[in-house]
Amino acid sequence: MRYYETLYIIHPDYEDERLSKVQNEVDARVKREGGSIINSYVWGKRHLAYPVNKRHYGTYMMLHYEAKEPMVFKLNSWMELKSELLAYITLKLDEKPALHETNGESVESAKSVRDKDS
Amino acid sequence: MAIMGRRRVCKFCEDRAIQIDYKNVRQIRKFVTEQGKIIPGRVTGTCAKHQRTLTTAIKRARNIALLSPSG
Repeated sequence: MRYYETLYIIHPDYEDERLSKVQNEVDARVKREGGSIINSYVWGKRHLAYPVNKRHYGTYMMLHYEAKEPMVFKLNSWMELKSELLAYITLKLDEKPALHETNGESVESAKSVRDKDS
Repeated sequence: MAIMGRRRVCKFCEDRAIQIDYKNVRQIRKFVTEQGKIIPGRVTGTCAKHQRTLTTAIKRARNIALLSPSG
């Protein structure tokens, strides 16, 4: 099994419960394909560097999971079709990612976490 | 015209064991011009190994709209 990191952007109109609904959908999809989730949290709502699908804002979501390789291609193609997701990037990690302090933390603290590590 | 001045040091080799990561936009932005182009290693003094990882990190950041590919 390998460790993967997926950073995906959710449409800005999705807030709070609709946002977590999309997040749960993605998590359920990972589990259904036989992967196991390590971290799944809101990374932060940010201004996009360039408009994606004519949108200038998006909520970045971080997802760390462990899975077999063929499953990742299925997940990527499924994400491609989902209209709520503006973009995504999937990476293979060399070692197991650290557990995030509080999964599903609020947006503000996600931003503060990112500022601290520069 | 020989480039005079102090022998530049690769930031990632000596100064700190900082991880080059596409999510660390504040770090990466220092190695990109205002037009969004990647500054060559000979100008920033970054060694070839770190310049390669830096380039992939910049391209990944561009891919996920963290960094603008143009101005």
